[in-house]
Amino acid sequence: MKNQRTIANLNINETGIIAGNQQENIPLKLIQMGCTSNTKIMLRMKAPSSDPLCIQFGGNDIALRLEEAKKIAIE
Amino acid sequence: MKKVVLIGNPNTGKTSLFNALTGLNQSTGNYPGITVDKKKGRLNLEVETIDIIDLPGTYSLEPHSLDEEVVLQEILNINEPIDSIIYIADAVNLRRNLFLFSQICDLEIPCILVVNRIDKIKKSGIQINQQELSDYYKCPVVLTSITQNIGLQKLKEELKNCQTASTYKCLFKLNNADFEQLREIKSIKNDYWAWLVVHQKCSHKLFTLQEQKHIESVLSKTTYESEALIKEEAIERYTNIDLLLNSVLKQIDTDKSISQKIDKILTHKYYGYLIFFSILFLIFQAIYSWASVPMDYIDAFFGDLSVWLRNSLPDNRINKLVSEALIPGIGGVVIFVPQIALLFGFISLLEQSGYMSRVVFIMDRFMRRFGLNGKSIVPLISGVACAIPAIMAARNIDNAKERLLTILVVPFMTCAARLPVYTILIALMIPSNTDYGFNLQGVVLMLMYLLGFVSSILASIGLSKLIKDESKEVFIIELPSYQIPQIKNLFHTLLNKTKSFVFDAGKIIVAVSIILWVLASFGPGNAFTSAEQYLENTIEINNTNTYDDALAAYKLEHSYLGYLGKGIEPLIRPLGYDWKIGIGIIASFAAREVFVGTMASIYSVGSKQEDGKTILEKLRQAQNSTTGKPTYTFAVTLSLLIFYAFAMQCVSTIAIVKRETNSWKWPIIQTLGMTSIAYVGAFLTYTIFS
Repeated sequence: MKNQRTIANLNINETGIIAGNQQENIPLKLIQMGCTSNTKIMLRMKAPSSDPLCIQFGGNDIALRLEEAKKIAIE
Repeated sequence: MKKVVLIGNPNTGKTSLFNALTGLNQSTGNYPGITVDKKKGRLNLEVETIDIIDLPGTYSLEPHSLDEEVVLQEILNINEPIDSIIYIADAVNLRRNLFLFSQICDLEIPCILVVNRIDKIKKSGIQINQQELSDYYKCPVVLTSITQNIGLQKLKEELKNCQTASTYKCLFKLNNADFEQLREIKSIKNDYWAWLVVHQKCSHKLFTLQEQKHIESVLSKTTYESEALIKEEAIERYTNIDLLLNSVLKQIDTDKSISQKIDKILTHKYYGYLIFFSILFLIFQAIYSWASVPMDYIDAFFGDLSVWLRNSLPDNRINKLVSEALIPGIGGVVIFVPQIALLFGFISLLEQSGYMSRVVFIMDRFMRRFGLNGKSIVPLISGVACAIPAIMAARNIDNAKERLLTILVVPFMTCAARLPVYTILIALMIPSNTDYGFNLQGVVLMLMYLLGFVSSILASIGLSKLIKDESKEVFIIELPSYQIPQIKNLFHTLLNKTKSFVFDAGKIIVAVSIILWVLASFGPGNAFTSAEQYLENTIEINNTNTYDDALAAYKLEHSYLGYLGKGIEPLIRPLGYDWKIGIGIIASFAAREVFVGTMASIYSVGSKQEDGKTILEKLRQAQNSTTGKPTYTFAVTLSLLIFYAFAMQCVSTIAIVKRETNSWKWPIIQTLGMTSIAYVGAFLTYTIFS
């Protein structure tokens, strides 16, 4: 899956849907906040030097580090 | 008395609800995890009085950080079972809020579901199907808006009628024959309780030793992947919640445009940092300039009170204890109140507004280079007030290594207790009339703060190589919408923080002042008790003042305190200090700020205080008893400054590090490490500059 896009590839204000079978790659805390496979997310903003990132889903604004964002594939 | 706990996600208005119900106002923070300790309040319900416990905000019962563990342990506590739960959910974010609620319901404890911020969604014309929610979870549902005082009366009614047993039946199934053996333990009430016990080691200590053995033997029989299983649990819960929400309310698109606009500036790659450092600069300016006025008044008041008491009370030992130890001791505590109140006030404003989370967001990358975490910025900033609340604030750092590092380096930050020491030493070193177009004393003081920050960063780099990272927790933080801070909450934060400082730190400072006074007022052997005779042989009495001073000095030298100081003199002589400074250093291990008071009493015990000399003048005139030259030369003063910057000299901090790391290893390493750096640093400084 060389060209699989991840959260880290999103542009600001671009929406994406988290790909199926991503359970392993999404940190537990994020899943418990409601971000699972097939969740629609939007990249809200990036901190300076593009790390961490802030994503928006279902009314939440959640920041996560680039390292984790790179692992989560989107459709 | 009935025990009710208050649970909910962070930033749902939980603390505001707690304040509204109990009247015992505490702070509401927008920064996740502000409610660190267990807070209790009482509510009078006409028919009965109930105890309400406010638990830290959390997103799930499976804890990621230490303050979230508190929640699980309180809820599973079998020895003091809870009678009912008030669960507060944010109407604007019902989906995520129902996740934790569905876990709570599965525990089969009677609940009331409070849906808060109802005004926000009514504005968008959306209705919540209250009945449907209530039928599904088999519990009362109350719609509230706490800031607008809507629904509170209804909630109190529901609390009166609260059922004694939950009618909700846990839908959760263990589906594992091995785990089901846990149900043999009586206090594990159903499958979901068992599930939590399986996956959360921190819950085991709630059981008796025999039960713990049973749990261990059951769990050792099977292999399982906790994280994957908990993820499955979460996904299943969200599937159910989504089905329910279809009929309860439609997903609302919340308007976050204002927050987005503010974020564009506050997290900007240049303005973001510029604004952050400007805010810090403003805070420090305010702490120094605004606080100095009340501080002067407090200083003068306690000085006058002490003189007045000495003159109006009968002249005996109690008089001396009160006027020389107790009153100056209390004054030494109260004088910090303006600075501490201002600092905590600013931190509270930053947290309540939601800005602190943005600081965490923009600082994370920078802090990571030193092995820390964006969340470390809050403990480090609070460390400028006091290391104790700062170390406790590190609890919401999920990653164990980053949390430990933060705890270990926070004491390098220049806390408020060092400020009086720095102020007096800098004044000794640099004449106040130095004018280069700016205040040189102020610049040196700023450099000392910078030194504190830089050394905490350097220490962190070094330590991060030594500590292994075993934690799986990653950095995830919610950025809540900006809110206007509530003045009422700010006021109560100030009141609570100041109270706890005055009473917690105050006790130690007053106790030390009294111990010092006793040690200085009594001594072993003849040299102390018949000092007059010894002196008569050595000094010609031609002036009562000189005689009194000489007598006082002679007595001090032969008091217990004097011997104590002389005992450590060989150790500190290489740093340029004499035994009097030695006493100051010993006393500082109770609390650093004691140094100034100690030096003041050492140079004035028994001497005529009416001469009106300030501490500064007394120190300037002080002479080294062995060399006869002035004690506080440039080299000695600078060496002392360096010593105080690094030495871990605060028993309370050591105690809190022990409690927070749950080991003696780290506080010991920290104390030895910091004090060695202080010793070597002070030695080098003295050697170079003398």
